[in-house]
Amino acid sequence: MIGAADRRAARVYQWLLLTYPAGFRRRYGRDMVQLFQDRLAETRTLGERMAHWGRTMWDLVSEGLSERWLVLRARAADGKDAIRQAWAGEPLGQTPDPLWRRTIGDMRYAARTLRKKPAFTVIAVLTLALGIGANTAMFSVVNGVLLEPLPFPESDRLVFLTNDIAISVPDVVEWRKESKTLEHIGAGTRAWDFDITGDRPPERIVGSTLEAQYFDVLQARPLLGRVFTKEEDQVGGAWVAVISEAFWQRWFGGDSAVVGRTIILSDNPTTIIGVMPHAFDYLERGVDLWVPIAVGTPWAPTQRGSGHLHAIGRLKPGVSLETARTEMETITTAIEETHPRPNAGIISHPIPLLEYLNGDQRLVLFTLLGAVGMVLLVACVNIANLFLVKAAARQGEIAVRLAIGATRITIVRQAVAESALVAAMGAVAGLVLALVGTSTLGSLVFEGLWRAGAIAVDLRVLAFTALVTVGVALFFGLLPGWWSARTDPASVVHESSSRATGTRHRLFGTLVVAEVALSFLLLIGAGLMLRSLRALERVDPGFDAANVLTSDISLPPARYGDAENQTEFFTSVVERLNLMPGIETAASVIGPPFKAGYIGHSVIFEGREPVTEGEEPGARNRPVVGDYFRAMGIPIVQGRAFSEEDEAGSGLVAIVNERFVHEYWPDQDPVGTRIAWLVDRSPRWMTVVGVAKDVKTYDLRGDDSRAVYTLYTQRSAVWQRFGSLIVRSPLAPAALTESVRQAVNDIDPLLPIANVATMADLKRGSLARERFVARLLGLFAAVALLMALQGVYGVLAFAVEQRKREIGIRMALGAQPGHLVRSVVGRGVGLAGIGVLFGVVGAVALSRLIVGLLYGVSASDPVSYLGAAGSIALIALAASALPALRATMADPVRVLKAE
Amino acid sequence: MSQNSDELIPLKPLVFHILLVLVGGERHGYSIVKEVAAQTDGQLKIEPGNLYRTLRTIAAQGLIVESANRPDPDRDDERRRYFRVTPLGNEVLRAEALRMERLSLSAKAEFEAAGSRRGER
Repeated sequence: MIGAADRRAARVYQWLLLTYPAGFRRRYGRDMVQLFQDRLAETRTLGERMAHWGRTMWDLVSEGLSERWLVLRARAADGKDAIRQAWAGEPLGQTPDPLWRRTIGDMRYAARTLRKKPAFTVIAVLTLALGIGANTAMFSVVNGVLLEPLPFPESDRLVFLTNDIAISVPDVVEWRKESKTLEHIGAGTRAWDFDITGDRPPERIVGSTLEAQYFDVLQARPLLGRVFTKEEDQVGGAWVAVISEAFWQRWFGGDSAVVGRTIILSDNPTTIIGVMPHAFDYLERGVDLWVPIAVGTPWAPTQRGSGHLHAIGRLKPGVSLETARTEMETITTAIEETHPRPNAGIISHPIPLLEYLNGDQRLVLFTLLGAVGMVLLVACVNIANLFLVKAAARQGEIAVRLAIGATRITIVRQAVAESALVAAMGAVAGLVLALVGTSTLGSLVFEGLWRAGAIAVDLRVLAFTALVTVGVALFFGLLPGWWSARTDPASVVHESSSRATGTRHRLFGTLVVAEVALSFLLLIGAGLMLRSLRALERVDPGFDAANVLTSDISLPPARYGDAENQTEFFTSVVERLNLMPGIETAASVIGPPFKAGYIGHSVIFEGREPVTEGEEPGARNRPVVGDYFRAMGIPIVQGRAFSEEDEAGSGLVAIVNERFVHEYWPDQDPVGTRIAWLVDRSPRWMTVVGVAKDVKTYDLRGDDSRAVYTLYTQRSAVWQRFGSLIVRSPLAPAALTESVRQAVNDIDPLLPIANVATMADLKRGSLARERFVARLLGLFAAVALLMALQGVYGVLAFAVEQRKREIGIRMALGAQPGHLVRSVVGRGVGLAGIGVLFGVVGAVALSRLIVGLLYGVSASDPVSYLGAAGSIALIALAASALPALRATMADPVRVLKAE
Repeated sequence: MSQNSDELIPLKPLVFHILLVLVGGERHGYSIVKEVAAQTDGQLKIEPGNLYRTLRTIAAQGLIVESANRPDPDRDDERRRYFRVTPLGNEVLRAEALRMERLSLSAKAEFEAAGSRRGER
């Protein structure tokens, strides 16, 4: 059976067949891919696979280029007949072209030379591959996510209208009436949960409710059926839904007769009227369906300040963003004046939709792009270095060949052939790495990115990086020929350490310094990110994340319309869970840490002067059932937790968090005071009985908001029919999923549980981005460091080789080996030291750019700097050790005799 | 492509092995690769580019013909291109085998002669 990895490999191979001329590819391409796959299926170990790829690369480059050459030659000669002749292996015309023969000869010679120097060949090809592959992969990701336009017609005219404060449908209706710069405006809710029931087990799906105009803004066409009309978008209207392509595939198996079918959506029979393509799910990936806003969320069209909405617009052709911004600010300010309370602070500042969607991904991606660009620089420097050292080392040989009659043009041609061959192999390997790297980056580590689907290998970047690296290889590959053309063979043959090598040593030195400096920069970046990650991992979230399982419940309004049966449901589930074996404590809450969704209300204080209307302080409300603080491991720092007497009694109680106390009662004991929610028409005073420790709300960076914990049983709002179950267990919490589902379905068999996750996973997940950046920067730094190691080694080894004679004489005259070692190592460490100095200057300048990504560590963190310098020192020592050893082992007699 | 069989001799080792494999009947690419590997105790590994370029060349020389694509009955997969040896191919292969036989005979004779000369001394 063919696995996914093999299929991917076959796709890569198919790409690589581009080395062959189109005609050949058309005729045999498919068969070759099959053959490749068959051979790949024979491999069992990783080693065999690598060997298989190695042979394949060689085959691709040698055969593909030969074939291209053959066709080119034949075409230049006589056209079609000549191609047929060439295929049959017949000589072209009367006299075989000397250049063609010679080139083949040069290539053969080059291949032989390279095979004799496997270390050089492998390192050069790998370096080229890394430079091309890593850069292409990274840039393709950045391009796909940040720069590629949204998949809607004239998407540059799309704008996001709301700032981070939620707006309401009445506002949007007014905007639509007033605006002269926007062609269309549409509003919708963010993710909105629905339960789907029917002949299958119930499931929670993610939906969203939209105004009919929303479709006009994006000008998105359905794959099947139609979108909803303004007539259907009426309060009390029939339930209709447009489903996503993904949901269509998942739930209906892509059945083309889906339009017109009925599903039960949170107890409402709903007709499916259309299917939207993947692209329409642009805002929050994973939305399964869309329902008219007035039907799905009937409160939305009338209430101002209802929240949970977003709005987008389409600029009229030729209208600038600036004009629209000025207009929208005027319009929203006017609405703020007419409706001061609900609309306080709701001013729309339109920004391009793409910019809004990218948000803070930009900094992350541009940082990584910068880092990978440095890897490309290091790769180029390294290639230059490699070829330079090789060129210099072969000067003697070339001089001898010149002396015995080789022409300079032959020497130059062979040098070109050699670097061309290396460059071609590097380019092909780079292409493989780019293809593999792009899909890995895109699918594996970037799961948090909203537009991972838009990522594809960018051919322009591939061409650019290939051109740069291959260009560098060819240029420096030419040097031996060039040098030989300028030097007098006699002087080189006689004097192995000529004066010319002085300038060359300086050139090598400069390259090594540049390499070290760039590696140092990358090390600093990786170090800072790693230290931020460690700092974040050490942050106390304010609760005990170990051994806690969470899952979400949302009660359908049709069956749970009144407060009693909602309360009944949550209390009996918590009760049932508490009795189950293996469960220590169970509770429920609205708005637990690291989960989206919360309730926010304005607070009033008993006995305080009422503040100006509309300026009441706000706080998060977290209604709980059961002993939430014990289940979550949140310490009560003052007063007490809720008790069973509170549940039974008639007195309303509340527990506030430390931040709340700090802001509203900075120097007062809060226990015993009374607060109430502004929304309740006549205040329902709650007595504060305790203070709970702050918890991290969304991620480990931010602080807790002001929060008030209340008893769910004492709530007044009927719409609070959702919540998260919290289960603490000494067992592995993930094993309890079935128990929780059981407990819920014992009470209501139609109710699904959603978003099952352990608290530890949620906490870890909140650091996914930091971990990803740290890992990738670490990888880049390691690659650069390896190249620097190789660079330092190459230069020192070469210097020792060149000075063999001098060293031999010095040894013969009684020089101490220790002295020699010191002189070689000293040069290596010295070069690295200069590199570090430049690196420090660069790091001080550049690290300021990534301050936004750091946490708990300053951009000039001494530990990162010392660590980076230490790593460089280590690799410089390691790189110097072998050449130094070789210098001391030089046998003076043999060296001098060899002269 | 009418070529005299003499002009094509000596055959490249790869061509010789491919023809030898095809004498046994029609085969597709992978089956050729496997069979050649079996014949040479795994010494001759053929990569796709090398194989199909060689097949193309000897097809142009008239030694083999390509037959229409059809699936391998033993393998439940895509259609494959099959290759069959022509009468000319057969003739060339036979001529090459004969040449090699003569060569090996004369080599044997040389060795024996050298051995007996050494024995005389």
